Amino acid sequence: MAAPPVVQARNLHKVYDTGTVKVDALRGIDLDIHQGEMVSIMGPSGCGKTTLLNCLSGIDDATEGQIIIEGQPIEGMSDNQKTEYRAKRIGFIFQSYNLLPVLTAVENVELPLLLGGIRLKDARTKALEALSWVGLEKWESHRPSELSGGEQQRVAIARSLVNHPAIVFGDELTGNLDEETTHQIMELVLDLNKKNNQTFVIVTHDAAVGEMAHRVLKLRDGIIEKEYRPVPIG
Amino acid sequence: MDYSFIIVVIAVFIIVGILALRNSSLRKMAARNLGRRKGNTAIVIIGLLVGTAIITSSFVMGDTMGFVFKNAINEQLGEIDELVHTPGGNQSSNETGLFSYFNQSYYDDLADARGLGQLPSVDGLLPIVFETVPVFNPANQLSEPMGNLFGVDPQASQELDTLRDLAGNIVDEEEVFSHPGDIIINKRLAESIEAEEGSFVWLYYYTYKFNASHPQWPDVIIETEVLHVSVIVKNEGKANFLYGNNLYMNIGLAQQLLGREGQINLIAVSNEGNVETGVELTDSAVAEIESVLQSNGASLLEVEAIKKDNIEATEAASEMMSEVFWLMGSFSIIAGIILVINIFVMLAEERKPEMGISRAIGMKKSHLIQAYIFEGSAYSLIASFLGTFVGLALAYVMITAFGSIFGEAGFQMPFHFEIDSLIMGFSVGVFITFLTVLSASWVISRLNIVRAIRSIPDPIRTKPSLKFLALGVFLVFVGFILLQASLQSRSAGLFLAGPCLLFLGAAIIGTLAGRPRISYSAGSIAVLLWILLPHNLLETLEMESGMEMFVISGMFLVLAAILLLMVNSSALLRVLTKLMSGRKKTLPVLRVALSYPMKKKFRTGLTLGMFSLIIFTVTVIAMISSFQANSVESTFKQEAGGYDIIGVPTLAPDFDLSQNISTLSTLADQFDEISSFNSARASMYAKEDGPNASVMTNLYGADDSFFEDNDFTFKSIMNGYNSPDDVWAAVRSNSSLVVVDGSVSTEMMYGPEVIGGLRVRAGEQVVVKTVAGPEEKTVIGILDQTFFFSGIITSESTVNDHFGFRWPALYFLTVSDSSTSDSKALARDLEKEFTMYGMQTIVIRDVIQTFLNIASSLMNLFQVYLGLGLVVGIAGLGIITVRSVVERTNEIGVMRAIGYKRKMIRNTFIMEISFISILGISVGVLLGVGLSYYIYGDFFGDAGTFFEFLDFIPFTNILLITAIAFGFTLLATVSSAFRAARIIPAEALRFKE
Repeated sequence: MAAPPVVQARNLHKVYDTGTVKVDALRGIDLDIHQGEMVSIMGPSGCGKTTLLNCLSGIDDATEGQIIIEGQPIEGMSDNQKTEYRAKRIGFIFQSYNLLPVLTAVENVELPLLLGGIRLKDARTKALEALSWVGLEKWESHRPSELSGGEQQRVAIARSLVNHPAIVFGDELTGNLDEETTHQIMELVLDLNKKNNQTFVIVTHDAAVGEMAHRVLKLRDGIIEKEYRPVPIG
Repeated sequence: MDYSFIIVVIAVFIIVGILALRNSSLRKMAARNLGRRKGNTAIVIIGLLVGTAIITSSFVMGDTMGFVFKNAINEQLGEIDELVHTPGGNQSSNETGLFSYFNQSYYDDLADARGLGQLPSVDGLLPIVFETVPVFNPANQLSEPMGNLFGVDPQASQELDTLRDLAGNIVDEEEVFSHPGDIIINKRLAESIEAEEGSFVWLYYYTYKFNASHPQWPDVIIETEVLHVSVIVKNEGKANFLYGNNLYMNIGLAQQLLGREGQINLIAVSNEGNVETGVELTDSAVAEIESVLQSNGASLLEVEAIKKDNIEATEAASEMMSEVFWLMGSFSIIAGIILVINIFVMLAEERKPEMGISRAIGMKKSHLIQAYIFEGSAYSLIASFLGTFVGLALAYVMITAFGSIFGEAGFQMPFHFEIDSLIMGFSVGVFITFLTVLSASWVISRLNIVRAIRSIPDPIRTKPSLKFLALGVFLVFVGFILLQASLQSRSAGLFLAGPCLLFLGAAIIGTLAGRPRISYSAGSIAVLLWILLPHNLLETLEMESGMEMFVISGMFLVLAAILLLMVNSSALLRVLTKLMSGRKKTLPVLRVALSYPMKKKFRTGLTLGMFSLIIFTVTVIAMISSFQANSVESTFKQEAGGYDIIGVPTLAPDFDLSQNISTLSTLADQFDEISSFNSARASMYAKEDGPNASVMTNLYGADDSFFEDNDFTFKSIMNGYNSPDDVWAAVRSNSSLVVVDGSVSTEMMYGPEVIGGLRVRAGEQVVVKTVAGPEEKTVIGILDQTFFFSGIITSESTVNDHFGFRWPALYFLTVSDSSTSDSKALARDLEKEFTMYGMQTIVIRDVIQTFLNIASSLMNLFQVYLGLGLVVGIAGLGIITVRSVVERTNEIGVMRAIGYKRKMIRNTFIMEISFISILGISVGVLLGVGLSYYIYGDFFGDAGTFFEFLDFIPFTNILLITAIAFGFTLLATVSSAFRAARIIPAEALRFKE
């Protein structure tokens, strides 16, 4: 019997209501994502990619529908439960890296571990190890402003993976990077996905990046317009 | 008022207005930015108005004091503008009144001259016989030891000013005095002895009789006269003279009773005009009177411009009052300036991308400056306008509080202000704010366009810029110049500031070595040590210090401490993280909470500075208050010299208290020691300074009992004398040696400057001049005592033999068993038993306690006044927090995404605010307590050790201040923290400013 999906979404709706205007950002999404899978969500601006990612990861609430992650429906969770779940089982990579500017590289990476209640000394060891995965162990004491865009994104990847989450969500994770750095980052993500059997869900508008995933979901006007498997990587 | 300053301020704002009218786009930008965040604007205005409020309130308090003093003078003197009398210190041996007698013909000369039109500035002259006498009401046994007897010519008296009875009717003095033995008393005396119209009162006075056995002084006979109170008059005009218990009789009767036929000792002069305007003619009136007196051979008489002199003195006093509040409030004003800088730095950060874009599309740097100036000017004008009225209200509260403190002592303080003061307060406030805005605008307009547009932080310099180095060299240069100048001018303030600038300048230059942390740490530690380490340099170099020392010390201490903290912030953060590493749940919150303020060093430093400055001043005042509350015993020891009661007989001649007490069974055993002094008025000057530096003082001749029994302590003793006993023994046996009271060197290192007075040192030669002529003396000791007697102490025989004053005029008494005896009751008994000598007593401990209570209440009031500066600090933190939440919205989103719960976000902000405020409060408290160690020396001398000093730290009071400051800070900022926690992560991640 096949393993149950890590992420399941059924009839997912999201409406942004500003009081005067209502926008249907998601209009009945159904999807399953399995362990170790790398899924990219693509589509034009405003099609609902980031909204879908936010809802799947629990940092935004869907207006209607059901999301089940690792067998747990998240719509019934309180804000605290969702936050705890995110801290332990979910990793994030953002377009603007979104590292905390006042912390050094290693301090940024160890933050999810400290949130998980790990002792400072152990957290430091694990954070350094995570930095070594992305080849930045020598940059541990640098602040984000002292790193290049690619380096910052690698730190963000280390941060997203340091506590071995069940699933990593990436929102336009190469959006601010040049072609060469984009390639390096995606190589790194694919390598980690393969090596650790890590599930990745990435939102991108870059076809070259999207096509590197196992499966592509094409969104338009809040619904999955097309779903396909690109040519297998490697 | 200096209108030129106001004209400058108006001109500045007219120029700003014209510029704003000509640049409509910049004007619109400024106006819209002003209304962009209304909450922020409100907090900014509240923070900014404090400076103007403090300035205005200090002016208004000066106005009230000036008004009170001037009113008091007019009430005391009425129509009298000048007094003609013999110079002070010229009394002969058989006179104990303030002035010597002279021939009444001198008055007649003046009256004749006036009749001939030679005194056009004078509209009234009154010959007076003036003595201080005890008055007794036999009907109820009540007495007043200090009755002022005025023997006046009724006709001339009415010409000068009128007396009004209690119903308000003018009293016909000629008619009253036509009845022999009839007198007029004022309401104050009537109330004191509960006399009524028709009462008979007794007057005690003395007369002299020649005695061939001791021709150099006459026998003294105490006489009693029964007088009839014909009218009681209101305490106004001349009836209120000297605020005394006044009694008026016919001059002829007074001369006859006192044996002074044809003599007077005072001529009162009224100038043309009324009570208030007469004083304007003082100079011409004095010149006219002196001319007439000289032409009639009365050159020994002097004309005292009593009203003008007093008004000038009170103007100086009210200016000093203003200055004290100014200086004390300067910390709040500085905090306000820091707030303006902080606000503009934040505004600049917030608007950096738009400023960059503006510059990119062609806006010049000057345009950016103008836009900020327009915005800042609006802030300044609104805040200063409101601040002026807040200052007025603040002054009202302070005056009312002062009034209630002094009210019990009968001192009324009606609130009064001049419109000029409000205009000046507004002008100064608006100008200070404007200047700060101008310089802040100039600094923030210097930006790199690309970095601004892309919000890239400025690169960290590894080496200082040339301009910064030039600043370091400049500071070293200025510091050196100030130090040089201080050695010449003896200014302790410059002496303190010079090396501080030198150290800070050297620290900047030291960064060239590539270790800025070490260089700045060394510079700031040097400043802290220079100010806080106990040393006697200021005393050794005889520096002159005043209130400005408090401000200079405070500013440099806070600057150095904040600099030290900020350059070592990483180390501090490491230590704190290490300390909290065991608290797994708190650690993620703590790390972020502490990292933000430590990264934004400039902003945090300014905020800490604001907090620390205010808390520093409030702590110092709390410490002084504690010293006062705890110094009753030490003050008593210092001021009482082992005695309990002071007795002063109004009729000193031929009265020996010891002898008289020994005859009374009720009092005979009640006192262990009774020391007496004969005394005289004298003038004194330091020989080195010459006669022009002469001041009026008292000459006291102590008896043997005093030399043997007193426990007075010394501030300084001349080299060659080892102990107080040595000093007293020398003074007792050598008439050329004297001791002086502590007022000759009352300068406190951090206290207000003492106006006027004599300054001498132990070992210095002084010239003491009485009616017997000048004599040179050597000051061999300076007492700590300043409260109860001021002047020169020598032996009884010296005063008697050299100056011819033989009657004891002052007694110090030690109660047999002061722990069980009631000193107050004994003092009352003494007054009662010796009514006829006009005996007045002072219970030393009571006076000290009352004085310290009043001083302590004043300090509490000051604490509240200065605490207002906290509004600035709290407003500053409020703005920072509001801004931080906006600034960090994206980061809040990330934190929420990776697992920070809502309460953790909230706690991060609360912890950050708490960290800054607690750090600021701690720095302020520590520095305040540190500096207070010097002030401790002013209260307790050198006797106290550091550990004894620690006992006086008012922990409860300081804890209360800390709690109030911290509590209000949390109140002002906690809503922002809650707002941050409520942000939905997805929205936070999407947020764009």
